[in-house]
Amino acid sequence: MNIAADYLAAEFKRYGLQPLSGSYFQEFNVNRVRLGEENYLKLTETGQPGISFRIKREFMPYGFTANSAAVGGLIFAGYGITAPEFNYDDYQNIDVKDKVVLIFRHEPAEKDSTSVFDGMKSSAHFQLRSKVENAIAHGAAALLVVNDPLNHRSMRPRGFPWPSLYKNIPADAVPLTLSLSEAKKIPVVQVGKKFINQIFGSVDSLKAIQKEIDSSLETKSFEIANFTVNLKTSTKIESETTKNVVALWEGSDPKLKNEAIVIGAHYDHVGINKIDFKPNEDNIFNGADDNASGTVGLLEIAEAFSLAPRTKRSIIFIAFAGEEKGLFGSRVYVERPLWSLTDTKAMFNMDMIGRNDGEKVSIVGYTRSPDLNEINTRENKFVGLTLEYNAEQFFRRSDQYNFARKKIPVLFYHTGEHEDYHKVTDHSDKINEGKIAMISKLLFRTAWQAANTNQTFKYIEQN
Amino acid sequence: MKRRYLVLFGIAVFLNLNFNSGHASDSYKLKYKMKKGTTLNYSMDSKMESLQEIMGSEVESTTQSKAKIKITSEGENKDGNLTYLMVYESMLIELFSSMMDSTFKDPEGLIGKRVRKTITPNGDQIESVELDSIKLGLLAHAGGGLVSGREFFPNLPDGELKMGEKVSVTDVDSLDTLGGTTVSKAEMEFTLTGKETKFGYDCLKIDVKGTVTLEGDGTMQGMKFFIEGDGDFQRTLYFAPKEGLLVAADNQTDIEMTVAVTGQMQMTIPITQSQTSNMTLLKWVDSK
Repeated sequence: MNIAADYLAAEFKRYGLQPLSGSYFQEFNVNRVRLGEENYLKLTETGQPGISFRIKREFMPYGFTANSAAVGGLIFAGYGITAPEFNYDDYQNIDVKDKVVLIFRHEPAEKDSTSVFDGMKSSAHFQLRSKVENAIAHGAAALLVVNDPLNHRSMRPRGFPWPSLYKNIPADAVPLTLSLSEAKKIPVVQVGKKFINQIFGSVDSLKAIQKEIDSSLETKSFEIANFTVNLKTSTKIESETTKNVVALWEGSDPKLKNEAIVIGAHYDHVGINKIDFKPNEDNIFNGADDNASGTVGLLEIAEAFSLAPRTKRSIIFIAFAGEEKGLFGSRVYVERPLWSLTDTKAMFNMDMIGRNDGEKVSIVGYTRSPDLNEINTRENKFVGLTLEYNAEQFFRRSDQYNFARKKIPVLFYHTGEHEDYHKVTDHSDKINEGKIAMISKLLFRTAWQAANTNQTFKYIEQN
Repeated sequence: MKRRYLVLFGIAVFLNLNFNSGHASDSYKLKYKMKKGTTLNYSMDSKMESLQEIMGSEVESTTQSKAKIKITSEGENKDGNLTYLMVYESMLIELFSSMMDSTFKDPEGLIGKRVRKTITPNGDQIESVELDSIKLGLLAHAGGGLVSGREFFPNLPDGELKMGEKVSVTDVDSLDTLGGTTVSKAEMEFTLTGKETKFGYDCLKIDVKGTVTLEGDGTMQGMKFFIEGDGDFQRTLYFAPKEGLLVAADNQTDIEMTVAVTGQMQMTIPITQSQTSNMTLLKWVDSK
């Protein structure tokens, strides 16, 4: 990756593009988080001996748990949701500062098609991460999560399946995760039936509370008196550094040059076939289409802009790292942007643009970015590709998605999957170079128009 | 007396048993019977709710299915085992998830395709052979709804079942799929709880409770995956001892499992699955 990054930076420099923030590289860390040795959960009722719970069977830490301990009184806080848009706040009327908070998973009236929480689809409040952030924001010392029994039969504490606690899960199955900030973390574990029985007497009692909340949409948070929770979760972090390659082509208009169009492509792929390594055979995933094709397009477009009269708006070229691990590089960029996102007016992404028959390319994101799509369609008259609009299922699958999450209009250029997708056979001799050239030309023309107007492009949010 | 003599004695008693005789011992030795040419038409309705966590986001899906399956007996082989052909006659699977909703109706790669299975008289599967190639396509990812055949011939205890008594059975099954093998081990307890007439058949009502563990691996798209999980299940079987067949069954299974992927990427995906299914014998045509 470092060799590729250096090459890209050298090319950007050769074209006369400038670094942003003093460097062509935006470095970031990716981590592997493993479970540490000391993890415990103990519950003590005043005047009674404490009860310990077994990890995996009776409690299970989540992957984003802190490497720390907490001791505190226990408060039940419904679903742990604050949703002012629905006039619903599980944290109203309780003070959870330095307390251990117990919440349900999921959201009220989950199986009710008329629920304000997006009916039977999951709203943003459904996700556990948002509940964790909410608990931290309210000052909780730790968070215990229990499966909501009204809608989910299993009361097993699933948490995160740490490989070290399983016989058949290999140690290197731990995924890479992104470390964006030193944001506060707290211990977060899932608890099961045994814990609930200690507090509420039975799962049925907890079900009754849930039913009350779901039927009335009135919160039922309360302190669970006389109980103290003592828990610790331990994690060990292994860190690696990688980098986006970012370069600026500054605009010419005194005012509009402060606005930018982003053009991107990821330059990482999936490495070497370590699992089924075959001596004397090809074990390298070259990724000619995924995504050398897009990266080449990025370089060609950058060079073309460098040879053309300056556009009014600035253009930022980004080669993203870590796309294959979960859109890491683009996520880092939008969370730590090198250019104000408010002044980022559009983003164009290329990911796999060199395969499949005919002079066709799928334009993804067209319903969300109708203004960009209109320009793209118009410019295609000068290029002559067949534009297809049949690949919206890929909208969340590449780096444009992180920009779309920030409500920046995006278009994604993609020629489709094929039999060599993510295989060692994704070779350059199968690439249609002419197709890459045509798609790059179309993107150049579309970006050129977008960079030479003061129009603010619409972004229409969709599920 | 040695155990096997007790079993033989029990079988002898059972064979002579008049179902409504009120025989004092009220114990049964269960086994499947199918003469060559016998056909059984079953319906299987199933609902599976699945919750997965992928890259920090939870994805919920529900799969509802309705299937009609035909079993045609090829009779008993020289080892006393039963061989039959299993064919899907119709299948409707509806998948609802936050990412997409899909419907699969009578998929071409499944309907009419024959699988030959060989089982022992108490349901142990000896062999399963696809006579016609089954191509599941996207159905493979639908989750739930597809049957293995064991639903119609679940394991029966070797020993006698007496009213109210519990009999423990351990069943180990392995499935070769996706370049690997998944082994499931079920520890279950049978309890004969009563008699009931179901769809015109005099049935024994049997409650089965148990736990199951799963371990397996495979290869998909150059990535190695590993599975480990466990769960609980509860079933109610309605077994017609005279005819030697399962008339109806209700099943509830809850499993927590982890699928780990290594190779091109590393992922550890926790999955919770809760399934409810109802199986009914629609028609039985006994061979003359």
